[in-house]
Amino acid sequence: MDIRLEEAIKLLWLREEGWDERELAPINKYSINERDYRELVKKGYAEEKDGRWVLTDQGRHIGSEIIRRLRLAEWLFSEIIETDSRFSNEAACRLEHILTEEATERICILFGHPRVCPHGKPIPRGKCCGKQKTDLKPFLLPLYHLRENESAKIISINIDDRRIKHKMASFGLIPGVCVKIKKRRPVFLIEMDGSVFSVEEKIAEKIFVKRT
Amino acid sequence: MHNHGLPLKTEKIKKKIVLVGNPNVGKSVIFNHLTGKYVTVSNYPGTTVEIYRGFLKGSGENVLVIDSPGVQSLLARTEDEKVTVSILLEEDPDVVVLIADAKNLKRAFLLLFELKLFNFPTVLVLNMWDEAKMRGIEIDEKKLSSLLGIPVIKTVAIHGRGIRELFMSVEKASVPEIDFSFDKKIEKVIKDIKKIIKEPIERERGILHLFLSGEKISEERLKNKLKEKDFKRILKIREDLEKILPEPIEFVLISDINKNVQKILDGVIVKREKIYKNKITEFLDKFMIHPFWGYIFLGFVLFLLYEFVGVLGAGVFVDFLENKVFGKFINPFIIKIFNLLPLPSVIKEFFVGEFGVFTMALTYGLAIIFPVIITFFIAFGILEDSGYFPRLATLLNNFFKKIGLSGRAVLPMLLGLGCDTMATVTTRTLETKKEKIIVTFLLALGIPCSAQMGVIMALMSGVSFSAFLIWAFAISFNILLVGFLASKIIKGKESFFLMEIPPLRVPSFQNILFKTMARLEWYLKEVIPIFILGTAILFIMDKTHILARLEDLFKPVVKNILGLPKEAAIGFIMGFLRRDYGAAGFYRLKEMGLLNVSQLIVSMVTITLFIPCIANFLIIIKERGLKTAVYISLFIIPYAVFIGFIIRIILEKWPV
Repeated sequence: MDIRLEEAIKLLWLREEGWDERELAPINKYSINERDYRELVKKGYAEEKDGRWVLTDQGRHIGSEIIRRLRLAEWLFSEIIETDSRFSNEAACRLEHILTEEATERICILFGHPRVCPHGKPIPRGKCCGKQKTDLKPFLLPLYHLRENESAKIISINIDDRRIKHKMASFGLIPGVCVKIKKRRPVFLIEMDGSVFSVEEKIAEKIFVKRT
Repeated sequence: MHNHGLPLKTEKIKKKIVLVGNPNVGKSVIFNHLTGKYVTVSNYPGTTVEIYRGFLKGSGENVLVIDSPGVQSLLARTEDEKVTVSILLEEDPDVVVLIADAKNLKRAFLLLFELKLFNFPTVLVLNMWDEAKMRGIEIDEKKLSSLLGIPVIKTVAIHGRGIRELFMSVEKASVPEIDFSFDKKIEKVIKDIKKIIKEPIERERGILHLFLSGEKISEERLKNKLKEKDFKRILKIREDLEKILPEPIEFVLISDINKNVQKILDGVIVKREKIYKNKITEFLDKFMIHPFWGYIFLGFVLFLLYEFVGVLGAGVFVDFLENKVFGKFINPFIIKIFNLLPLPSVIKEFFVGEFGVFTMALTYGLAIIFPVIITFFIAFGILEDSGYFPRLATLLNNFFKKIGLSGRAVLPMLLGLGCDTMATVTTRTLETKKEKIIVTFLLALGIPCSAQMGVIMALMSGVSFSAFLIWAFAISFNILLVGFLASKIIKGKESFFLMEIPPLRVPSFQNILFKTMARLEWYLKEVIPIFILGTAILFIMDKTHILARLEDLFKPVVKNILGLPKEAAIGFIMGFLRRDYGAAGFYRLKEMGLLNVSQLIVSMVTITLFIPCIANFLIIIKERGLKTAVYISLFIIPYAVFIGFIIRIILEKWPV
C-alpha cells in the first residue's frame, strides 16, 4: 500500500486513540492532508462522520497492522539497538512501512508478545500472540529463566487473568520496574526495592524481562 | 463481626488523624507512641481486620487517631486492602500521616501520589531510617519537604526517635504539591465524567479515580449523587475505557504514577552500593522454606505451641484456675452465698446447680477456656508478627496444590485455630471460588478453634500424650482426605500463588501485649454470653426432662455406634452452640468418671469433626449461601459419626 495512505490511516487511528492535533503535528512528517483522507474514503478505508474523518472497519483492520508494526519496531530500537528515544521514534516510523508480516511476528515473539509499546501505548494483538510455543528464543526472557542473583527489568506481562494482574499491580510489579532473583529453589523468590515476593512458577513463566 | 468496643464520644472530637502505610513499616508502633493506648478495637464491618482507635496523647479527647491496615496501593486493592480505602472515605480525616519504610520510599510514594488525588493534608514519616542508612541509602528530607510542600519527619519508631518532631508536625500538615497527569485517555474520561457531574463533589479527583478502578464506596457515592440516567452514562464511560486500554485500568493508573514517582525520588535519594546482610535472619529465612528442614522447623514450632498452649495453658493454668481458684474458693463461696439467700431452689440451681450459670458457664468459660485463649493468642501474635506465616504458606504451597488449594489457604486455616467463624470471613481473600468453598468446608469440618483445642488439650493432658497424638493424626488425616476429594469434585478455576514475604523481625513485646488484650476483650464479650445462654438452655431442658428424652433418642448413635455412655449426647447437643462448649460437655463427663481413654479419643475426634457452631454456620450462609451451608452440614454430621465409629473399631482392636 502507498506510504501516504498508510500514514493517513495511522493518523486517524492515533486520533481515535485520543491524541490531539498539537501532538499529531510533529508525527505528520508526510504532511498528510484532506486530499489523502478523501483518497482513503474512495478506497473504503475511511468515512466522514459529523465533520470528522473516521476509519471504517476495513481501515481499522489495516490500521491495527500498521500500529502493531510501528510499536513493535519501537521495542526493537529502544531495547536492542538502544537508540536515543527521539531517534528510535523516527526509525520505527520508517520501519513500520516495510516490515513483513513474518518479521513483525518474530519481533513480537522476541519481546514476549508485549501489550504496550515502550511508551505505554497499546499494541494491537497479532495472530502469534495467542500461541505459546516457538523455536525462536525470545530476547526477552521469562522471569523464571533467570539465575539466582540476576537482575532484570520487567518489560511485559503476558497474563490474561485479571485477578493475577490486579494483584501484581497492587504490589507494584508492573512493566518498567527492576527485580532481582533472590532464590529459585525450593520456591521462586524475587526482590523489588527491598521487598520480597514469592511467585509461582507458572506466573514467573509469563513475566517477560530484560536482563540488566 | 460487629463493632464492639466503647462507644466514642464523637461530639468532642475536633480532628481525625488516619495513619496510612505499606504493610510492615511500623505503623502500629507509631500508633502506640501517638496515643499511648487504644480506646477501641473493632473488626471492620464484614471483615476480620482489626481497627485500632485512640486519642492523640495530650490532646484531651479532641484528636482521634485511627490506625489503618497496611496497603500497597489504594487504586489497586486486594480484598483485605479495601478496608483502608473505606476508612479514608468514611472517616474523611483532617490529617493523613503516611508512614514510609525509609528503605523503600518508592512504594510509599505510590501511596503519597494516590493520597494527593484526594487532597488530604499529609505528613510524611520516614521510619526506620537507621536501617536505610545501614544499607547506604541517604535521603535529603529537607529537600523532599520543600519539594512536596509537606512536613517530612525521620523516625526510628521502636526507639522512640523522631516521635516528638512528629507530634509537632501534625499541625503543619498540608496537601502535597505534586503535579502529575495520567494517560491521555484517562484524563479525557475524567474530564467527561466531571462534565456529567456538573457541580464538584468532595475529594472529587480521588473519588473518580477510585470509581474508575472499580471501587464500591465511590461508586455508591456517585450513584447517590447523580440521576440514574447520568450514573448509567458514567458506567458506560468506564466500560468503554476498559475496552480501549491495553491493561486493566488500575494497572495503567499505577504505571502512570510510578513513572512520576521515579522523577521525584531521583533528586532526593542517594544510594551507595552497600551490601547489608543479617546472618541470623538470612539463615532462618532459608531454613523456614527449605523443602526438608522447613517441615522440621514446622514440627518444632508445633511442639513449642503444644508446650506453651497445651501443657502450660491448658494444663498448669487450667488446673490452677479450675481446681484451686474456682474449685476451692470462688464456687464454694458463691454456693454458700446462694444457700444463705432465701430463694426458691429452682433459682438457686439456675445459678449454682449442675447446669448453673456460675458452676458451669463461668467456670468453663473463665477457668478452662480463658487460659488457653490467652496463651494461644500470645503465641499466635508472636508468630504473626515475626513473619513466619507467609513463609509457611510458601513452604506448603506445593503440598496444598495437591488438594486443589494454593499456599494462601494456609492463612485462613491457621486463623481457624483462633476462631473458625473469623477465619471463614477471611476466605474472601482467596482467589478462586473453588478455594473459598474448600477452605470454608475444611474449617467447618476439622479445624478446631483455640477454645475447643484448649478444652481438648485440657482433657487429654491428664490422660496421655499418645492419646493427643492419635487425635491430632486422625484430624489431620481427615482434613487432607476430604480436601483432596473435594478438590476432585468441586469444579473451578485453577488457583495461583503470588505473595509478599515480609522480612523476619523480632516481635515487639508491647505490640503482642496490645493485640492479645484486644483479642481477649473480644473473647469475653462474644463468648461468655453464649456460654451463659447455652447453660440456661441446658438448665431448662434438664428441668423439663427434654434432656433425658434427647439422651434416649440419641442413644442408638451415641451408645451403639460410638460406644459412649448415653450422657455423651449432652456434649453433642452443646456442640451445636459452640465447638468449645461441646468439648466442655465431655469435660464434665470425664470429671464424672464416665469416659475411659478410648471413649475419650472417640468422643474428641467426633466432636472436633462435628458440626460447626451456630456463629460459624451463620457466617457460612452469609459468605457461601444457604445451599452450601446446608450441604456442608449434611455431609459433616454423618461423616463425623462415621469416623468416630472407625476410630472406635480400631481402638477396640489395638487399645492404647
